[in-house]
Parts: sequence; C-alpha cells; structure tokens
Amino acid sequence: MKSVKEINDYLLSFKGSQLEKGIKERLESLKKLEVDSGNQDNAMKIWCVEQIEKIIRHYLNSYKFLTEKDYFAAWCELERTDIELSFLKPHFNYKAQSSTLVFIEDKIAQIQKLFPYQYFMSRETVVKKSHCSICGATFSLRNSCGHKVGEIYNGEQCFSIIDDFEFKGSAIVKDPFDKYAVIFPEGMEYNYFMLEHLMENFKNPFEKWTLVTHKELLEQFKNVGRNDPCKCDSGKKYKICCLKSGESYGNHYEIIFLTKSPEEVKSVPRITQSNWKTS
Amino acid sequence: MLHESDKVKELKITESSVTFEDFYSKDYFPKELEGAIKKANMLILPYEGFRDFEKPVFPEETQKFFHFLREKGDPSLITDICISDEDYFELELHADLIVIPMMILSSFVLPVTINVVSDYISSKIESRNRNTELKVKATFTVVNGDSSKIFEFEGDADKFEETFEPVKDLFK
Repeated sequence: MKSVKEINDYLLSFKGSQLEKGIKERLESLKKLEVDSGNQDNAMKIWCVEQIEKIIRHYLNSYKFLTEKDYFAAWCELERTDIELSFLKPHFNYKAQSSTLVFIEDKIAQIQKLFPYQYFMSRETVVKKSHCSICGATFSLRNSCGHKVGEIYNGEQCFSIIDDFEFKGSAIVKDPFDKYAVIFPEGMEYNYFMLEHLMENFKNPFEKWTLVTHKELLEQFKNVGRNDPCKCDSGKKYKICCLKSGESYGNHYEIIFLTKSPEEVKSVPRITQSNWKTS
Repeated sequence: MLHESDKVKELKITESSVTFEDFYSKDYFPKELEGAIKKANMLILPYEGFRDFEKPVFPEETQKFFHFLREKGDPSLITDICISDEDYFELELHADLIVIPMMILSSFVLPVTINVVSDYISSKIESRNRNTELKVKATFTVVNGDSSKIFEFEGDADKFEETFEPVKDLFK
C-alpha cells in the first residue's frame, strides 16, 4: 500500500484478524511530507487514518487477549479503543463511512457488559500547571496560545500536558471517565464465566453477534410478598425497599450469533452466577 | 464535589440574597482585574474548601467551558471568571459526571446562558461513545435586583435543556 487513499480504504473496510505491517510507519512518512509542505488539511486527514489504524489495532489486541483468557489486559485494550475512538469522533464521521468502526464501537460496549468489573478507583487531583503539547506554552485562562485541546495542528492532536499537580485523594466509583483502575480486592477472584462462554463461539474479531439484555427478578426475591421483610436485611418492607429501588432485578444477558446456524453454536444453559468466584 | 450521580432530572430552586457584590469582596477576587470582572453579567465562581487544599478550585475543563462561553455565547453575555490566571486550579475527579462550573448571573441573561450551556452539554454528548447516560451537575445563582434564586440541577445531560426551558421566562 502506497497512498493515503489506499490505506484509508483498506482500514475502513477491514474485517481481518491481523493488520498489514508497516502502515503506521508509512502514514508517518506521508504526514511528514504534508506538514513540511504546510498542507494542514492533508496532514489532518492522515491523522484521522492513523487514528483508524490505532482503533483497529487496539480492538484486535483486545480480541487476542480475550482468546488467551488474559481478561484484564483485554479490558484495558477495550478502554484504549474507546478513548482513541472518542478522539477521532469530532474529526471524522465514521458512522457514515465505515461499518468496521461502527462494529467496533458496538462491540466495545457489548463486550464490556460481560465483564464482572463493577467498581473502580477515581482519583482527585488538583492541576496547578499545564502546557500545550503543540507549542509548549503554559496554559493560561486569559492569555491562551490559541491551540485548543482535542484539535489537530500539524497532523497532531493537541493535549494538555500536566507539569504540576497535587494528589488529594481517591474514591471508589461505578462509572469513572475511563475504567482502567479496576479494583482487585485481596483474597477475591473475579468470575469471567460470561466471557468464557462468549469466547467458545466468538471465533474471529469481526464475527457478527449481538447482546440482548433482559431485566429479571433475582432468585432470592422470587416468592417474596410486597409486605414481607426485604431479603436484603434492611428491616424495611420489600415494597418500599428493593422492589422500589429496582435492586431486586438483575440483568440477564443473551448472546445471539447472527451468521451461525443453531447447530454451529455451542449453546449455554440458562445460568445465574456471581461476579466473584467462591472457593 | 460529586464523583457520580444517580439522579435523572432534579432541579432545586432556593431563594437567596447573594449578589455579585458578595464575590467582589472575596479573598480570591483578583483586584488587578477588578474593572473587567465587574463588567461581567455572568461570572464563573470557584469552589472553596476542597479537602485541605488552601486555594479555591474549579471543576475539570472549566477553562474549556470559559473559552466556549466567550466564543459561542450571545453578544449580550459578558462572561468572566472570578480568579487570577496565577490562582486558577482545576480539580480533576476523573469522573463520568460533567460538573458545570458554578455561576452567578443577571436575570436578563438567564435565557442566553441556558442556551449556551445547553450547547456546551450537547457538544459533550456528541463526542461520547458510551451508551450509558451522561450525567450533569450545574448550579446557577440568578440575581434579580436585590434578591436572587439558586438553581441546582442534577441529572441526565439530555434532560438539562428541557428542564430549564420553563425557567427562561421566570424573570420576565
């Protein structure tokens, strides 16, 4: 592949399991030529192609880690894929141009739902000083260098580089901005049974499947009357406790493979399991 | 300051006597920018007393929000931020909750403020991939003569505009 257009077309319709080698280096050299000749528009287009390559590469890495049962590594690669996709989104309308990127976007959300991770660390940091990744100027409220974080200049995305900060604390949360900081409590082990079952059938990274979520009454709340004591031991009546809050309902996930016949799918009996392994 | 929220659409309105003058006398008020800041009819305010940090702080991306208001806001909106460049500190909570910086504003610019904040929130929703609901927390103090009302919104980002739509006519 030589031209930007050829690489772009290859990536936008990519459905394989391994990217051709040398794409990253080729794009870098093409971008340098455009930057040297002052062509900002073309440099930005190449940045978008580089982003697409990164997104696909991280997604393929994630799939590879899933096949190797290295689940936390797979999780981190999915997070990275999601972040790279969010960088691309304001600059390139991939929904209209690439079924591959739309597929990856859907799969990030669906695969993450099958992980048992529920709690994450969230840091509290006071940023005292930062500078612009493009020109090096210190970021200032009223005397800005003019570069905007997230925009593309000379084929590079502008970031805020933190020079000085103070760590003030951390919190345990369910939905941080990015979810790298998974909590692994000592003496406890996550149960990856949903992913294990997914991977018995998910045999190539672009195989079509979908996840359907049903809200169902949890086993321990079946046959509990509205006025009975709540099963969570709160001391309240069920109707004003877990029935009202929705805590008595859990998600039941159904994975449907769209291009396999029923005989080809290794089916799983209906099961309910904890997010944690018990010894 | 919050890390996350489970609210869907909550708007609290409280009567108050706070006005712009209350902030002009704060220790953090930058005297060297007094002339410019006192012209503002919409002023971004810091949070005081975050843990043991000695200075006031602003929520994540306040600087971006400030520049957005100046670029995209209605010409009638005169925006400033109640801190010097040297004392500006951002608190990053790494949270999936957009905290709109606290603001005090004149009642006659309330409709255009709601419009531009809604535009800012929409830009956040558009740039997002995840399917889960994006949450927002916003606090406005709206000054009308010698009195004021404090509006505190917490809930889904896409409910912000519809919640504040009726509020636009409150001071007419």
